[in-house]
Amino acid sequence: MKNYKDMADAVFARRDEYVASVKRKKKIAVNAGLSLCAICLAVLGAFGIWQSGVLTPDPNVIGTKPQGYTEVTNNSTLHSLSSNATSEGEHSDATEIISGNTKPQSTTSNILPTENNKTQSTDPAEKPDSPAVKPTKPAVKPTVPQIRPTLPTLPVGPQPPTFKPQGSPTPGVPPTSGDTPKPPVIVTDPVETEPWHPDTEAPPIVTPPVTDGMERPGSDSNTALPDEPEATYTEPCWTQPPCMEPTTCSPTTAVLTDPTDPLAGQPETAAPMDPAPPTEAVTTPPGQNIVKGKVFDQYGNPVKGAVVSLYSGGTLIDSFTTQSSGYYYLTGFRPFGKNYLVITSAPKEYSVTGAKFGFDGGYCYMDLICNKK
Amino acid sequence: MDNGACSYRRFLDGDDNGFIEIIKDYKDGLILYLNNFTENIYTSEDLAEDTFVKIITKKPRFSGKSSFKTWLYAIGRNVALDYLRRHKTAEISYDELPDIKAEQASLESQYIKKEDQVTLHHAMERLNPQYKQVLWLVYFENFSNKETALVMKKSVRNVETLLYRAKQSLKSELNKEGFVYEKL
Repeated sequence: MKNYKDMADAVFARRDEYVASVKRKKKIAVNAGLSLCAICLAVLGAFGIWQSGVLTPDPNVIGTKPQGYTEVTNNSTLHSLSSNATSEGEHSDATEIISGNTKPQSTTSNILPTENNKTQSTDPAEKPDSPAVKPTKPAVKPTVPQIRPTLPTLPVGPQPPTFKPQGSPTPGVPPTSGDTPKPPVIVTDPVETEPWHPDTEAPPIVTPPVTDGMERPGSDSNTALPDEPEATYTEPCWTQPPCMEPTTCSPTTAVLTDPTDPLAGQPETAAPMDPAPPTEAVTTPPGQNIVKGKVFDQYGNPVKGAVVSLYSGGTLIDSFTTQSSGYYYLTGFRPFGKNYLVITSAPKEYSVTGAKFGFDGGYCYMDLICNKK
Repeated sequence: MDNGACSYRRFLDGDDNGFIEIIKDYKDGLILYLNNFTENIYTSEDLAEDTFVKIITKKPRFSGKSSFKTWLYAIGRNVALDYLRRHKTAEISYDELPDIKAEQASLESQYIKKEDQVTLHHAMERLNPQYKQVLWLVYFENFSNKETALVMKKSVRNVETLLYRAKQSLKSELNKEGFVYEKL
């Protein structure tokens, strides 16, 4: 058995061990806490850096170009290229470089294998060892900034000899003052560059290029389309109008061409009209259940106060009282039914003498002519 | 405030000699009390040492609602119960049994001064552990029923009942050996 001194020594020894272990555990906990705090600070720092946008890819850096951006040389490089091109007498097309909004793959750089280089290689007049090809060297420098696709204008003057279309009106001639070269129209789809055969095909739809507005369609016979024909809308002529009595209609203007009519040959919008026509005629989509027209006298003056009614099978469908503009607008028209359009009430100084029938943009219209006594 | 409480206050104030005095004053009685649980004097000694280590490291607050001895024995009882919970079976080898008996007799001779109490303590060894505890606390430590209830974490009524049954059991044991203890 231990006496009290031995037990006291043992107790104090165990207490010292306990205190040492507590200190050790506390130290480990403090170290762990400090490490955790350091990690948290590092994470927060990284998060802050990430949030600040420092690590965000810069679109102006080559290799991180987003789609839709145009990578071209800066103005100084462009000017140097242009000067080289001018000295070499080469004609270039700057819009080929900057039209990256509509064709990003062809807008990276003038040294990239784009259509420009292809054109250069296929152009017999282009010399392979010509100095005009040399200006591509500065574009490969990684420090070359880029011009955004929203660049409104290009530097006027000599332009880099990256593209030389065949049939250029003034090949090799640098533009002079007052005669700014007109860049050709950029056709996004090469299929559209095929010549149009007016006898066999409909006129091609030319997509207007998004350029700086300096383009002139048809300036280049090789890359641009032929002159676009005047866009005219041809209304198909109905041989048998389904709504009214057989009448004639013009396939082009949809207006009756009565030589005696003072309004003949004029489109409906050309007639004097009230500044505030019925809004239903504007907001209602085109449909065949609508008939509209105008009531006017033999002098072309609109008739006010005429009540125009639409009957179908003896039933009143709709009625309209003309205003000062003379226009009326009726709904419920049945294309394949039996319809009657009558003036049920007209001012006493007028008498109905005739009518004109036609189509206008999907609407069936009938102009009623009153004779002023 | 008894001596144990003063010594513990001194220890809390930074005087280690106060705790040495506590060990000196309460070591033997605590060992003999814990022996009622373990029935091994060596294990009881270790448990008593664990009790003192627990006090010296954790430094529990002594409120003074009871005597310091009661408070110390209550802590020792918890330590012993924890030990018994971890060690379900007593590990006593027959080789150690003579030494245990000798050590226990030596400790009894130091702690129990009266001869008749030594005979009574020997007779208690064959009783139920709870009977041994209550008899030890009441007749050898001179605890009141309330203090005994605090140490054993029982109600006073329970302690009284337990003490009555312990006396009856001890009488029967003493009668078997031919002793008559008049104080019981």
